[in-house]
Amino acid sequence: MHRRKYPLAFLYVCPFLIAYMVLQIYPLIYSLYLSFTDYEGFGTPNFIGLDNYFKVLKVDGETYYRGLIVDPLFWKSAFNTLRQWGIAFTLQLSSAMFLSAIFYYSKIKGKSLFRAIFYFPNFITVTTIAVLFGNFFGYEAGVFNYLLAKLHLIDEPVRWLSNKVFVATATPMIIWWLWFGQTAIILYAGMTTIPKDYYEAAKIEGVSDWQSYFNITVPLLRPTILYVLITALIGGLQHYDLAAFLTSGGAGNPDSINLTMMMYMYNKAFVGFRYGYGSAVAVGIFFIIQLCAGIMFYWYLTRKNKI
Amino acid sequence: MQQKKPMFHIQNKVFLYAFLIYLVVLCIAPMWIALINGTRASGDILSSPLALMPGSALFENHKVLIENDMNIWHAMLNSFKISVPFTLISAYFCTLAGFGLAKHDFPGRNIVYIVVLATLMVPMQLGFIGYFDLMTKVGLEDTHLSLILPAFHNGAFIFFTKQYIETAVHDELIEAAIVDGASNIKIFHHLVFPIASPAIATMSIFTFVTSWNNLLSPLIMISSNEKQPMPVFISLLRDPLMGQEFGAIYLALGISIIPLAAVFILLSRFIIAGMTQGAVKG
Repeated sequence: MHRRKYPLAFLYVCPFLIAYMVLQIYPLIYSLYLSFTDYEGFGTPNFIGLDNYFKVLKVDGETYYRGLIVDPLFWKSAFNTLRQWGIAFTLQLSSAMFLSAIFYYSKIKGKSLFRAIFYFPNFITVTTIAVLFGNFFGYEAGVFNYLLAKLHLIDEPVRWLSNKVFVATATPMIIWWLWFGQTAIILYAGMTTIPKDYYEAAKIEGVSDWQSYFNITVPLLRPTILYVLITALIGGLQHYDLAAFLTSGGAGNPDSINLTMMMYMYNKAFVGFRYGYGSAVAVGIFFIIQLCAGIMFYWYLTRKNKI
Repeated sequence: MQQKKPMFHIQNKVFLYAFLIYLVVLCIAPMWIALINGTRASGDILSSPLALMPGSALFENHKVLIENDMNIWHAMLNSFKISVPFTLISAYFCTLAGFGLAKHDFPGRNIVYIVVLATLMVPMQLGFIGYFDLMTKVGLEDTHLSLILPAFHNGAFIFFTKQYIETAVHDELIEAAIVDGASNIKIFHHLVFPIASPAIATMSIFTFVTSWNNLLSPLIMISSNEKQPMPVFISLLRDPLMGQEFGAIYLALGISIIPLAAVFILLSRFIIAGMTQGAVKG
């Protein structure tokens, strides 16, 4: 393909470039700067160095101020986010591998209709899903309590959303439900790009479908799996909507079990008006995301030809 | 040649269909329950939250919403006021940038392309505090415009249309148009844009829905309740104020599902094709 020399084409990318610099890069850098200040939304930000990250202020043995690195709630939110994402993604990838194999190998009818329906939950506003499931798991008029009572599994309605273990289990299950169809569609699309010759050659050699699945499909699907992994990671570690509104209060209750990193940043900056500290949280999130993505790439590059 | 066992036997097909249909129910039932319960009286929902048939309390539930100062139609109008301009701006300016990158060589082209790729990898929400501060300083806080402006740097849109234009618009066509004396921008408007319209349509659907579903941006940028779009409106239903008004809550949830379900049913073929293209090429 040939690209014509045409310097004026620079003007075509200018709207994008200017908007990106002004509306994205500048705010990112400004957030980084604010993370070194005690800015609370009015007056001029005071430069306080790395206090938002490292300072511990103790008065009479009581801790009054904790920098990010020793803030137990920040680390809890990081752990919560990774736990939710880890459980959801494991379920999502394994069920999508299974479903895409069904779509690829079996001769069932209506495959494209099934695929479309499995993708449907992903299309609906996550906030709607959060409030909807919040009502399903409600104490009064909850569909979940109603079903369990009908099946004689419980005698009295249960306050499910006050149960830490339940909330910590239900959240990744709902994330799985939102994403498994999307992942299955992408893996299936990746499968269809694998040359048919490979399978025909394998068939002549007397290889079974399952063997060819594990020895041809899965290894050749690794780039697609990496794509799914990285996009799911970047999105999943910024997860906010579902965790914030499945239980009421927007703080990931009960006992901060659903507090995610983004929720912590939002609550610090826009509820508590501690913009400086909230910016430090954003910087922390940035490093955690980059670290995780780096680990994924490392894993991908060092384990060539293996899953 | 020996007969190999296929992965999914004929007799397994029954189980396979049963499994797939189970997943279909799982994917549709929650939304269906919302739509049905939105027409039932709160008292009925309290005594049995599951029903197969719609009730007759649709208008009462709607009245409860309005009386509680929860005008969902207003929120929906706000969502349109944000998402429609957002999509149009992305569709025009990002396709233009995609065309620039796909068919031209200009100083700094490779750097610009790397910047486009970077937008896909850098988590955009992390600049929120800086963006909020910037919008406050230029007097755009609490405006829909502050939610529309990011449409200009929709990197995914640029990437996708660039890939499409590279293969779908043949160089000979452009050269012929140049010989005919067409200016480059005219080529974009009359040749490239129409040819790329399938890709533009697909990306526009995704852009529209992403913008429509965005919760955190309006939560941060918009402070007046009457300017809030749908997701923030829906999040307010979690407020204890709505208390026992189950019918009204389900009605609002149902109404928030309908436009997206309609878009999905009408355009799912496009949507799924677009998604798989993006993944395989990306």
